[in-house]
Amino acid sequence: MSTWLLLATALLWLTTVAMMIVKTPRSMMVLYRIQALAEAGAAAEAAIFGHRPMLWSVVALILVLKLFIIPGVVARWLAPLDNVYGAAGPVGSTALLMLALAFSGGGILIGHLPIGLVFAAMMVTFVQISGRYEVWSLLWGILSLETVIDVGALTLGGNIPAVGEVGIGVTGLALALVLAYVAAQVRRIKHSLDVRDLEELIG
Amino acid sequence: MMAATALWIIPVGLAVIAMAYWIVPIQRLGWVSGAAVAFLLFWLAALPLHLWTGAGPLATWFFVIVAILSIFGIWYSGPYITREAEQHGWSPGRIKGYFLLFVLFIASLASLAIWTNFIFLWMAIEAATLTSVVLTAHPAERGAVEAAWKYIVVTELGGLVALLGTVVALKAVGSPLFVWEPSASHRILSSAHEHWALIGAYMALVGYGTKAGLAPFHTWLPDAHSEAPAPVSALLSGLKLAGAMLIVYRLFHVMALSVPAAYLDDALILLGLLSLLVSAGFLIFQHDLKRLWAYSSIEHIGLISLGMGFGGIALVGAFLHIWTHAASKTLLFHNAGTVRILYHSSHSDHGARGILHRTPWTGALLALGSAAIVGLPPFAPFWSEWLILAGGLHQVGDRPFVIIAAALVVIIFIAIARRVPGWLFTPGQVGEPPAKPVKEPAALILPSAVLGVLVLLGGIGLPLAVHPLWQHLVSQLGVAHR
Repeated sequence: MSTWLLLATALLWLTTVAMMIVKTPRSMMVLYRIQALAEAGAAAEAAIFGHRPMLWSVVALILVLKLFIIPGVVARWLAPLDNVYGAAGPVGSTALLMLALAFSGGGILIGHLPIGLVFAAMMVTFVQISGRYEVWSLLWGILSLETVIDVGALTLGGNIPAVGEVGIGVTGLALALVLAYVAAQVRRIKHSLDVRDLEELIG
Repeated sequence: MMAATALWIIPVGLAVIAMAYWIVPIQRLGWVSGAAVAFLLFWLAALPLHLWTGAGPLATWFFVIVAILSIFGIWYSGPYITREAEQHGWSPGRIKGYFLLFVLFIASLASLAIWTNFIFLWMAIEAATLTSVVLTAHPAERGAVEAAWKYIVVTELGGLVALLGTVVALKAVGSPLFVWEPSASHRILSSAHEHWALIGAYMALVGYGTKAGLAPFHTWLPDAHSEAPAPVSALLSGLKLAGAMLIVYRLFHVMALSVPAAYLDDALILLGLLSLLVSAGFLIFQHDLKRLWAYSSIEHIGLISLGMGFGGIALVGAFLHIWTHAASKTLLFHNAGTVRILYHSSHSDHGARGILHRTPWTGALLALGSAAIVGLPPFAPFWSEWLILAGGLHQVGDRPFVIIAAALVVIIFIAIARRVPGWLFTPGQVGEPPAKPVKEPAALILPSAVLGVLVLLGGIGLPLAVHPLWQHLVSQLGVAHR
């Protein structure tokens, strides 16, 4: 087990927990960028220790997409939400945090480190997506999950070539674009961030 | 031409045609649609001429279904979107955007059919999801945007879990993740590896099951299908849902010799039965025609799941059902779109009633499609449902599930049979003056009428026409699955 990979996945888990409890879209964007560094770290680890130099292109792509392009696109679409403060939730942040820690423990138990941390981070994003209902929080929750899953694929999918990883990265960009577009449409139609009262949510 | 060339030419060609919609003037959109139809027809015609072959019979079969129904989708979109744009004041940019996204959606569905690499299959289903999410939101009305939001949140959670599940499962069984011709893994697994393989397989099933609209992960489906423009609902229901199930089938096929196949099959049977149950429970309460067919899609994707779970001849039934359901459902969603255009609603309580009298062609096509989708003979869904249930009866251990499934299919038949007359006929006393007839534009009716003929003939003609292909499929899949 590489210490480098352990550090990357630990950073991933920490940023995922922080994204769950954060209260403003702007802080969320900062945390997403730090989370991207964890993903780039996991890719760099595979490039160095797995002797796969082509993965450096994946590292570069992750950095460009997730440090600049995706936060830029989301910020542009959701500009009116820049200073929004979202403390609302069906349960308090403390309860969410406890729940996330419990699920994290479960994640680490079912998988050995460092993949256990990836599973733990995945559980935390599920808690975030179930426990928060502001449009921007859900949006960043899904993008956070996308990063977590990418790290999982990088960690476990040792034989996925760089072209596959690039494809996964580009799909992540498309996901961010569509999420931001639909979130902006929701904001335009509802004049609200709260998506609990969606008329279509009738099962 | 080699299959490898077609793997890229078909999706890239369609993407280029899609971009042309944005460039040409609004009056020339029909030409681009003609080019898209000609492109698909060329690749269809090239198959019997052996100019190219898909990566196996299953890929070829699904590509044929995708191409035929996409041609109908493009054809119907022309008159449908023209009227939708007139009624709701769409700008030229919005109209062009619709066609661009629609053909990109078709390109992703074609990729889903012909690609066999699991990472690329995941990308194809993601592309299909993302394009159809934007298409669902395209009308820009409250219901459409809310449905699109729910669609993307629920199905992207599923999609991401499916990717990790696929990676975990294939790594556990020692199968390469990035190959174009995956073969069944024969590795004997340790207990720990077997657990991880099953965890990965179930994660992938939940993820792709969400994309397929299998209960209990179906919550996005009725909203998205009822709010999307009718040609999009048709391709979503008929092709995208089945495409997600085919990925599950391909993955389980690779794993079936390394982990106990019963664990995988039972999960498919369980989700299939649950889908039938949910569909039976909700169909009876539907007053919106598109929503009715959306819940019916959950039923049929459940039947496909059951067929894959039962295996053997039921598996052949499941693959046949992909076509029979898709053709009938495309007809019904196009018909529901026509109802919405002509009556300004597809809700039986909001004026969409007495359809058979006021619009005889639309009413007749609704009656025909309904008779097909509930599985009445001689329509093709009857044969495929029969194969699925008969195949299940051959497996002694699966017989209780077949009995439950058959009972649920009967309940669903009764529910649809009770609801459809609400649209077809006008309730009231005998002798009341009939409601005013509504003019049916030939351009809207013709694509559905041709598809109606295909659905009618399909019950008898299609199994005969594709007999050699089916024989090949039976010999390959029936043996390999067990």
